[in-house]
Amino acid sequence: MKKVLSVLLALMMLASLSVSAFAADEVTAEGYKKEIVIAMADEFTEPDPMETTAETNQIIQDCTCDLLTDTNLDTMNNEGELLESWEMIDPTHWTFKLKEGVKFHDGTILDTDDVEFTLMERAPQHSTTSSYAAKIKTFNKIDDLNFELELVQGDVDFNYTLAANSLAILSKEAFETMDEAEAVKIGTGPWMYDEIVPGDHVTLVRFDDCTLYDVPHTEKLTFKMIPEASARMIALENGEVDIIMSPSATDYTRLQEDENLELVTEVGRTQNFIGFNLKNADSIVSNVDFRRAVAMGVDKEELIYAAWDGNAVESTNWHCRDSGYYSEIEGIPYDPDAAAELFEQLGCDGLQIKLVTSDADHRTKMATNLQSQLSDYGIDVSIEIMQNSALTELNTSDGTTSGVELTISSWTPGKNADYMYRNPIYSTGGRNYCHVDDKHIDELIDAGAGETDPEKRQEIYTELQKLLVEEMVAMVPVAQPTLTLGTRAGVTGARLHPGLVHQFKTAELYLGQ
Amino acid sequence: MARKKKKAEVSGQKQYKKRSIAAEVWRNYKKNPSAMIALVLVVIIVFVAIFAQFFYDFKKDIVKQHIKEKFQKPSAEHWFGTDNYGRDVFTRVIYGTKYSLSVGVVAVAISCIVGVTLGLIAGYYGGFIEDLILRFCEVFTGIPSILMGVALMTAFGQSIGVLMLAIGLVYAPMYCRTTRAAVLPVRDQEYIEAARVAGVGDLGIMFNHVLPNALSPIIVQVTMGVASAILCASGLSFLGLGVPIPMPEWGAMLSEGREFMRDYMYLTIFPGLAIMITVLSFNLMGDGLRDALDPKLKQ
Amino acid sequence: MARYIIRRLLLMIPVLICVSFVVFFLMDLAPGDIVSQMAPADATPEQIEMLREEMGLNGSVLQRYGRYLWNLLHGDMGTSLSLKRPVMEVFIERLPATLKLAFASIVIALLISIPLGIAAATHHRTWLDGSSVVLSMISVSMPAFWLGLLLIFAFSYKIKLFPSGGSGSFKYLILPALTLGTEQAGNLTRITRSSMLDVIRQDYLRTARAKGVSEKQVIRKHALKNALIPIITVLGSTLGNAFGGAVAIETVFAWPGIGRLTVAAINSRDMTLATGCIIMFTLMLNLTLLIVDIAYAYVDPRVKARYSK
Repeated sequence: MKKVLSVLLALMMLASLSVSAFAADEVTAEGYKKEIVIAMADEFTEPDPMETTAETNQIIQDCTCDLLTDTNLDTMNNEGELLESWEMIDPTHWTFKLKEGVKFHDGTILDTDDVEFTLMERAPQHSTTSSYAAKIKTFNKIDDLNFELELVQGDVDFNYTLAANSLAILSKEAFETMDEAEAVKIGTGPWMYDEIVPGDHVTLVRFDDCTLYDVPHTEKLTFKMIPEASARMIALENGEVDIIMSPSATDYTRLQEDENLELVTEVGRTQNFIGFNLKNADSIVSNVDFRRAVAMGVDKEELIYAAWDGNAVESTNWHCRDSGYYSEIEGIPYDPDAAAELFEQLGCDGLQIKLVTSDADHRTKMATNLQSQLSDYGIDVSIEIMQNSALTELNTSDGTTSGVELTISSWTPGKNADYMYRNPIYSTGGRNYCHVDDKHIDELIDAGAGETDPEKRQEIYTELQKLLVEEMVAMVPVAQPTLTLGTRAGVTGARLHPGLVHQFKTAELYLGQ
Repeated sequence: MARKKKKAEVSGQKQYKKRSIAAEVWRNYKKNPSAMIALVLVVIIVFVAIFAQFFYDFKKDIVKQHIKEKFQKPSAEHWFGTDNYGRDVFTRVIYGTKYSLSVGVVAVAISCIVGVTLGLIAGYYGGFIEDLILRFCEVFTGIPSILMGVALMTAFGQSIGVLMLAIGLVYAPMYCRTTRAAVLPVRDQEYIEAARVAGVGDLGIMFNHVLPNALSPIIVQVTMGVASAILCASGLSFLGLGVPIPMPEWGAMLSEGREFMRDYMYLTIFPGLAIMITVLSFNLMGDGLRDALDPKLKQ
Repeated sequence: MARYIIRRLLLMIPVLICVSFVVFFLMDLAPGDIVSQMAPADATPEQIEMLREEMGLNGSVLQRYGRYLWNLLHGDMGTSLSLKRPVMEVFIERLPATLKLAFASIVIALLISIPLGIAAATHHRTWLDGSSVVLSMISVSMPAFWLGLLLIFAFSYKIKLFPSGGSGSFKYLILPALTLGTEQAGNLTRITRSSMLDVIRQDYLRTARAKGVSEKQVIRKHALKNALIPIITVLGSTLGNAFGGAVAIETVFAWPGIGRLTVAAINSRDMTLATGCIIMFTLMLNLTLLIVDIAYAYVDPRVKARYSK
């Protein structure tokens, strides 16, 4: 018995020694690394673009399939991806032309039938896309490359709708010849699915017939799930992975100083805010003076320090910086003395107030810091942390009865201005966390969406921005955090997307011959 | 907490008939040096848990952040350094004793009340009732305790009360089994029969005659139960399902410090040590008690 | 014996049904549901209702549980709401990782605890005995996830010997298995030591010694075999717990096991997956305990005699 044990022990030791050295890089004939490994925080769960809105899924789907239009990350403009061109005849009539000779992974060529299949047949059946499909009244096929859409309602920004990741164009033929589970993997992107190991990794192989992009030299693209930021960092330093998503802020200096590593940054489009439930009549948050006092009394710089180690751009405005029709308004500047005075007038010493937020790391940190800041004014904040879906449900339920007073949340809009308001601000919006219910604001939002003259549109949106933040104080916008990637030095084609669906389509690493 | 102390010193304090037994136990216990060290530690920990709140101000020392002083290494000014919000880690660890210990003690009290009662009933009545209770226990012990804890915390929301209740319920079946097992051999003893003949009711017999004779394994389990409850609570907090922010519960501190582990290891070392020392003290005390209560077992 | 096993297996059914009931209702009580999480940010109320029906989440909780139980009794654990694949398939995918970790840790625990426990018992009241007691006490008193963090700090951050998380080749297994194994070793050492002590003093060993059997032989041939029953009992429950109870360690090491899958399912309010996983855990735990009971019979003929009665 003892002998068996000692042999086992010796074997284990030997095995552990032999594997402790890390493998060297494999290089292609041209001197590029054969496989690029990307470490992500979350699990990939779904190859079907219409079944998910989770960014991790979308990032990988973005490598395998394409959209009709997409944000060009250099110009930040909405441009055609599968579309060669389009024209708005009037806000309800649009014509589109597809790029020629785009190949799907199964070898078939993209034509208007595939678009019709995606938009008119699949989209209405899926909850993530049915609202987009409902915008379309008729789909008219002109020929294999040209089609025309008639919309139910005029929409001058309809091209942005087509940039929704869930509307990636899939192959109609694939669905006719394969199981649905396989057909959803057939796209037009430069990468094809090779292996999906749930909870661990997804491997993609290069699609050599891709014409939309310069096919990268990389042969394999592997997305590896490593939930811990520190573990991702170690993996990058050890050369186990080449790119890591959202490194911890404490590692930024390490990434910048290490000559083998790089820090890629981009200001994100996510607006983080402290929201007030305007409809909670029992709470002091329904008093605009109190809201103003909070807005004056909160040091956003400190919040940014606590939540992102200083790596965020302070917001004065609800409207995100790179969304269309942003205007430089003053907002409510930090003024602790005036805030203290106002709080005193309102009799806030010893006030108990409840804040709800989700378990996301930066939100928890913001909440903890806000609690510390407001305690200076004698306000006692109790924090309730819940899972994100529970928070969404609570924040979107009837504001008069939900009991919510303060919330810390965020909103990531698309590029078009309407996205900033339609859901989170409009009285019937699905994500109206602050429970804004104001006729004038609704009218402004509608007017902004229907206006074709850019100058008049700017005026409308500026008024809306001032009204929300400076007069109504529906929320205290805090910051748009910096998005980051850590990479090995020399990695190219790893692009941060302000809307969080980062692009790795052309990721490669030149190592030399 | 006070109750715990009393149990810890099962000692000569009790003056009535069991004096000789208690004295005997105490004499045995005293002989065990590690158990004595554990006892002293437990007394200190209980003392800290009760009195820390009088030395520190919750608002000033726990809630208030000093972002500019973040990540200071341990020094004369900050014995355990400061965390990512510039809060003093030593203060938090000391103040946190209250939360960890009270969760441990109350959870055990809950599981003890529920478990011992069910165990007594099962052991005393036997038959169908016993079967039913044991099946019920099986349902709960069949689920890994940490997962059951996660499910309960998720269902009822995060608060210190729910945490106590969740852990209490998770461990209750253990007490039920111990009690039942301890009651079984006592059940058929002659003096029980005698009491019944004398017209003592079921409840009276259970609590006055059966329970005292089954007490020693329960006492040991309670002491060790505090230890495992503290561990379980720290595990749940570590998974993000513990006490509300900014209560400095040790498991929550560990989980917060983990992000910065690479550069500021002390943020995870100290709360971890605090958990370990506390749990170790209770375990050693339980061990000592077991040996003292049943000298035959002492090797 | 066969009748005993069948009886035990049949008794598991009501337990499993009760477990499914408890978990299903706890999940229903939890605030927030998966629908609001899966719906896009700009979903309309109609869209959300459509999604709810798509996922089979319409109707009262009793109706839903009724449907669930009906399918369960037909051997169908349903489809995971968040992953949209059969629960069984998802579970089986993650099972190997969990089993790998559980068995590797048990092997480590046995390698540490059996020799240490025997040595402590045979060298009773020496420094060896004392330190084994202290060490095993420390190991059961330490939060295992904390030990995991310390190991990561030492072996992935300071000496870059092992990866700090994830799964893959053998090197990924070492730190998590060591962590879990150390935690289990504490209890096993204590049990081994105390049951060996019990056995060593028995008369028949004295007889064996008197007959001139060497001390080594006595320990190996006679003592260990008789001390095995309590060790097997603890081993069984330790193994059972390693299947689902190692959530914190799985989290620390990003190990793709079922413990973490279950917690993720609970967090995302994926009722079918969470309930399914917990039912499977209960089943595995109960089967392990059954196997332990059967193992007794082989170790101890007296027990076997009792079963066949």
